Amino acid sequence: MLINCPFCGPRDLREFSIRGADVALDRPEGTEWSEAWQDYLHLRENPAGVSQELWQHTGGCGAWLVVTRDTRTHEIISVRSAREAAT
Amino acid sequence: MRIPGLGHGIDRNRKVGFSFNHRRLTGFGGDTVASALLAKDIKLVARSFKYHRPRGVMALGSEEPNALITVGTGDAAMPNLRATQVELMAGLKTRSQNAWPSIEADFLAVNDFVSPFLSAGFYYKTFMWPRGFWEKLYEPFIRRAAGLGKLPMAHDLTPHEKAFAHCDVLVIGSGPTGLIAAWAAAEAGADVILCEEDTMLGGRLLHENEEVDGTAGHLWAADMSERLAAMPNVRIMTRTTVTGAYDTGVYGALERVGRHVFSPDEALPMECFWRITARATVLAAGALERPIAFENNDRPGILLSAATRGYLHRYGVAPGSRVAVFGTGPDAHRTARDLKAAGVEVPYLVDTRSDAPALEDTEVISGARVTGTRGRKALRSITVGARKLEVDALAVAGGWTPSVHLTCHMNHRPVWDEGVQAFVPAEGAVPGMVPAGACRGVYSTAGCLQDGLRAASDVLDMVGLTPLSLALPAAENGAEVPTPLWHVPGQGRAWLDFQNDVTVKDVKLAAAENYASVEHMKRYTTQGMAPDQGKNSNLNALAVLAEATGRSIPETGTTTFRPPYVPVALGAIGAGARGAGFAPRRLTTSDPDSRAMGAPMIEAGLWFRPSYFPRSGETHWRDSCDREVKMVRETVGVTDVSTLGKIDIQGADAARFLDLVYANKFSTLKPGKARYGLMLREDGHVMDDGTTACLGDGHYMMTTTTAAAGPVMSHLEFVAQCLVPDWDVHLISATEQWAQFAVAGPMARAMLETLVDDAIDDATLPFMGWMDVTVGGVAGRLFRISFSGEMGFEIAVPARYGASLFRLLIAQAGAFGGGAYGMEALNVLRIEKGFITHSEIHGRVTAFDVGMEGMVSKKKDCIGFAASRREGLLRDDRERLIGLKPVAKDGQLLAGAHLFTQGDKPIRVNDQGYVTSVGYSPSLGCMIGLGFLRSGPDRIGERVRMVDHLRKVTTEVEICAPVFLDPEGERARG
Amino acid sequence: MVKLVPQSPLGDLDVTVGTVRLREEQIDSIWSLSAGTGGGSALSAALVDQTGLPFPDPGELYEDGDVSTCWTGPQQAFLLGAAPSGAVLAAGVATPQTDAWAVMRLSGADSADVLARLVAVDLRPQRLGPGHVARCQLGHMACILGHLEDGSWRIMVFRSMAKHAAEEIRHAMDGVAARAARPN
Repeated sequence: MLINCPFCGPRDLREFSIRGADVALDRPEGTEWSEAWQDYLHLRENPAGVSQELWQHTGGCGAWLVVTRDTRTHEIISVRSAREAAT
Repeated sequence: MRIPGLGHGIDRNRKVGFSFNHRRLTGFGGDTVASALLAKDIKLVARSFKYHRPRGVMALGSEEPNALITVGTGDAAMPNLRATQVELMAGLKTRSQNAWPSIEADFLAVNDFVSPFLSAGFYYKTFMWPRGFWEKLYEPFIRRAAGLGKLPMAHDLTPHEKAFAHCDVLVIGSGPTGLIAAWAAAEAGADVILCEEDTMLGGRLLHENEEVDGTAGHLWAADMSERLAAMPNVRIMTRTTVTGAYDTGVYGALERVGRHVFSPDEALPMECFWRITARATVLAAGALERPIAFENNDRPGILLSAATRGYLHRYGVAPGSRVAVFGTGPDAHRTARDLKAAGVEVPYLVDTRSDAPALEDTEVISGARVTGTRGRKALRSITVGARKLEVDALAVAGGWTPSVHLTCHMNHRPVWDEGVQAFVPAEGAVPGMVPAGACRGVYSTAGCLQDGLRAASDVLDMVGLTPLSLALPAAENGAEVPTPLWHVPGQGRAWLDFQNDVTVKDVKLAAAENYASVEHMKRYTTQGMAPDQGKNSNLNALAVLAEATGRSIPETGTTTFRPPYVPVALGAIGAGARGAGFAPRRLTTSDPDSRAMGAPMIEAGLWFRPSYFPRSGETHWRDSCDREVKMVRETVGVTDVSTLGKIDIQGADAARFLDLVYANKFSTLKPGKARYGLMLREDGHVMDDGTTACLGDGHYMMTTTTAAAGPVMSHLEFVAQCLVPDWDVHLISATEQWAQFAVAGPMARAMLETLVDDAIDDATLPFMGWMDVTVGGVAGRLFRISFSGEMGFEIAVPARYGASLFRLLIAQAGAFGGGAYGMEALNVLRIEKGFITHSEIHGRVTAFDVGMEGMVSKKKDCIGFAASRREGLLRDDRERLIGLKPVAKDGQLLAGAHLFTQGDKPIRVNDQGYVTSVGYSPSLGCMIGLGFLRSGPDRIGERVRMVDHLRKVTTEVEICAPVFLDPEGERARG
Repeated sequence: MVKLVPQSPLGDLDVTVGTVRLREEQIDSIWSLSAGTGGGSALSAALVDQTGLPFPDPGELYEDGDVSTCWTGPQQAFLLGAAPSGAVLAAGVATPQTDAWAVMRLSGADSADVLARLVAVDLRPQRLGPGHVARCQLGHMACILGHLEDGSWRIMVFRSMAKHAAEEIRHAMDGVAARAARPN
């Protein structure tokens, strides 16, 4: 399986590591424990379908990526740089 | 027998000697073991899997279910190779399998005579009772009786290889479809890989007597091969079976590299497992001829008709001298025609059609079926109705089954095509893959050529190239799909799956016992399982199941085909990963010297680090360890700490960044200073710790533990790129840039003063400071930090000087009565000081648990701050860090043991905590340990029981503060 | 007087098997350069001033004699064969990396075939032709793989893994050579 790194082009899956849903990008404001923190840390969808995930090109350029893919077919719909997605 | 004048694939001028079951035989260059055995009229080649039935060659290629042989001898023997694929070479040693004491007199052939008891589901029913018999009696017996071949039990030292390839267009199969598709794609400018399982290109063209473009098919194929080979954008991979289709155009392929040659070069791989990445793929996998299930249809001498023609044309071999043909249509006639043209007697052709055309010199028995056969070790006669016909071989033409296997690997099921009476690939079954030719039911050569061009045009479109207009070569047209005959009704056993010994009866029995779904039938009977994956048997078995359950074949559905298409040796998949190849070895610059000093090296992640440095007279690692601990406490010790992660952090927002990733504050750290930092995960638990030094304004060097260097780097990159993408922060690993050595002990400074060119007194370099130094003119860094509790330094120089500096440090330390110390002593030293490692910060503990709650700064946010404030993570009765000492001086402590309150039974519900690190402290004269105990710090002085149920040790221990030595830390500061 | 003796990661390895030669390359200066989020035009200009070579875009590698620049990650590149000038240091962020890497040169007719046994990336000229670089894995090791103008490959791995990497490359060279010499 290949993932198309926006910097390196299509690369073998073995070069990438997954972190999970891209909700990790939306770190809540505030230092008090809250419902928002609870959801951020622990609440995850488990979609049969399109899933937005954070991957890192650990075996390549090191870029964190937002990968949109279909969990049913493994089709990768888009790959974006997380830095760009986060700014 | 060998037929003069035929056999375009063999070289009659090259005689090749080989052995089969210790018998010396001769074949020709280009022969396979199967063709060479048939040429010598050796029909009995193997014994079957379950019933140990005598079996012979049935097919031509990788679909062969019967003729599995072991090649080679001793530890290098390779079982389960298909004789139809094993190329003959001089001195090749081959033998039959599943036979003892010999293929002729196989003891377990008794299974065949008790077969009524061995039908489908037999194991499930019979071996249920009595309970204890399974392990002791049934299983050992079944294990001995069943199985395909026998693996040599020695370590496999055969060289294997793995490799990667990339192309625009992958063409799988090189029959007329694949050849023309590859050519069309290449002519249009695509980068093409053409994979062919066989030793040469051509597919069925090698095995038929027909013309393409006005010339013999095999010559046309040879011509095309040459043309393709001459194109720089074409890569031809023969002896390469595509074994699996995976996501995004990735295919697995097994290449037979070295099995067919004797090479003096020991590095020649036997096989290579390829990962081929293709933007688009033409599947031209062809079709396989089906057998027909009739009573005793598995006798040696009964072959598929297409295989019979293949042996005749390519190898000049006929399977017998009096051959009958049985079939459902034109293929049977073609076989008879070809055999007769070669001078082989074909006395009978049994045709299921009532209107079968007549044949000269052959009795065509129309509307008839073969109902039985005779001849245990070789076919003697066939039965057609009331007639017993004497023949020594039978060619069976049951119709063709498209090879749809690869189209199923991504979870699509093939679909029933009424016109070709078979399952064909589902539309879009594998993204980017276009099936063409016989694998989608197009059987005529002209049709295949046309379909190959169509497929090429489709894939060229996918890769953005324009197909050229190419002339279609003239070829045989018109292929009739006769009405299939799946099985001939009868009382005896009629084989469907030859490799798994599954009969029509078994499938019917499955249906009768309500295993009526195809998936259930498959598992109940084992039809279509294992290496063979039902290549010859699937459709027939489905048809029998459909009939037994009163459904149509499409209603019955089909099971799927899984990768690999052919068996792949684990040695090939795991090529390069054997022994030291399993994981990279990371070596420090001091590694050669440490080994030369006799230090046993232990693995720390990928790194190798010295365990201890034995000296003469020391007989036990503890002798060395105790000495090294004392040495550091009394004089000076040196150890390599280069394995710790070092991350260079720069930028206008670097200080802010450190405040965010560390629990404690770093923005107040001044240049020239270092600080211990505690890093949390976002869930409030400890991730890692280490010291970070401020190298200058906006420039820091972070140290991580050896184990967490990679994960911490990845975490920092996550924070920088994903959480604070607009901050000016630059990260790069500097771990490998520096060789760094800890120098610790009361004489550390005195010793270093003899080496560095700078003043390093307390005022210049106070505790937790760092400075630039030069050592023999080489610029380095000296940190005043301690992981031993003694006065400690860490000196870093560019790695190229590491080995040299280590030698120098060891020599100087020696002059001060010190020396090198290893991981064992390092561990004891830090336990004595209560310094934590990942034994303590193992992922489930918080800053509060390790007594560092105060380090979590309340003045700023940090990763993990909010979560670390959760009530449950701050409860006094959590398991918290404590020290442990045995009550009796000689009491034993064990890491991993659990702690129980005195008087409690040592059972899980009473668990009070556990021990994480232990060591013998020469300073205290007893073992000491660190661990976690409920309300630990509140229980200092309490005696508890340490119990290790695994190692059967119980020790009474006293809870103490987790610092055993110099609690004020004066030694390190002074 | 104390004296430190430098040692190269591979002890000047130089081995030829079949058509392929693997040798250790000594590069006396390697620096990572980073332009940061503010953009790299000033840094690139300073680099061009010093070396004639620009700050490379993703996947690019520039050479001029013994000096080269190559892309190593988002907003990051290596300068090889020269220490950054004051102007470069002022315009960007630099970290010394000279000792962190073992540098090998793989050359010869079958060198791409050897690499294809070790790296999963597409080595074909249209993807990784001369003047291009890939951050990838050599076996399980982090690697900077550059394709140089003369057609040879520059393989950089972390110093600690140099020996292991050289052994793996050697193993692949042996296999490829044995295949080429395979009797028919």
